[in-house]
Amino acid sequence: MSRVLRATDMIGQPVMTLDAATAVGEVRDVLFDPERARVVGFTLRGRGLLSSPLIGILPGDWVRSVGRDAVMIDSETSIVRERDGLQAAVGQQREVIGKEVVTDGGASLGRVSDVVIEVAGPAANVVGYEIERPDGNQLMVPISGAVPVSGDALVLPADAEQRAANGLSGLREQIERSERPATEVGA
Amino acid sequence: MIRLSQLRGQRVMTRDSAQQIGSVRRLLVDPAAGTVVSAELEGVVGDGKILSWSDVASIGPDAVMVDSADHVRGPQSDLEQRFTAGELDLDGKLVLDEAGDALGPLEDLEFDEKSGRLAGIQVPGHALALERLVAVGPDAVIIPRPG
Repeated sequence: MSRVLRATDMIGQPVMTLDAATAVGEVRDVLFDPERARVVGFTLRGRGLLSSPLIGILPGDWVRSVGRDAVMIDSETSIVRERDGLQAAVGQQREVIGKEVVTDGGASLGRVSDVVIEVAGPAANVVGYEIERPDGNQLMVPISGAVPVSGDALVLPADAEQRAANGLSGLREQIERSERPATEVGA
Repeated sequence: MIRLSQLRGQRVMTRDSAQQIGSVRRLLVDPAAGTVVSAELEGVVGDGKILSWSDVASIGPDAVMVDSADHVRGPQSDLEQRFTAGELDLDGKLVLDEAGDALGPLEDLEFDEKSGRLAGIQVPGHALALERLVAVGPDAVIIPRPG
């Protein structure tokens, strides 16, 4: 069973070790590779008021499961601590939130305000981008694969606006429909 | 079958001298084995507070009986050392399944009184059959994914 949620809703979720039932930190940022439409890892911060703002990176490969209430990892050693080389741990990841979205027809749609992900066990894939238009309205665009990205912008197909879903619930419905097995209706 | 809630605070008496030697404070579960292995007593005269579950002779409605006070001792195994140091506490701990979904605070545990083998766990709104625990730690009791 999979869940569809906003990546920003994962911020603050505790990261729990399966060997010691200890919450070693919480999610600070979700890291994406738009070109593979995947979550590739998380940056973690400490828990509590006086805790560290950045304790390390959790590469996606080391995540055992993303649950409703906690991200589960084998042990503390799954976290790459700052001094060990943060960048190298996750390979290709790009800043996505706040990036401009341009269609391949040359129209600017706005800026990415959120990324919608589908989580099933250890894997988390990008299934939508929520875009904030210049007029303040939100556009929810379903994603089904690679999205080219540069330092300046994400490029979406020209018909992105037409394919927009009705908010997060609309996107969830679309995904559910596409995953349901085809059935004969009528005789 | 017996429950954690039935045992907590229950007095422990000796068969040989009909003496009350203390009362049950906490139980130690070996997570991987899925078995209650020891009890920690309170109100005990002397240094030792640990009782092996195998030394429990019988459990009645009004007392837990042991053969003699000699069975009450200090921590021996690794697990017992950690237990005595305050780790591996179960009471009111958040129950989380290994997939990361929370079930609520631990309300009760059910187990076989002779062998100590776990049979089930009680969380708000559900009783779940359980044979083992994945881990017990400062922040949660982690259970296998049901079904």
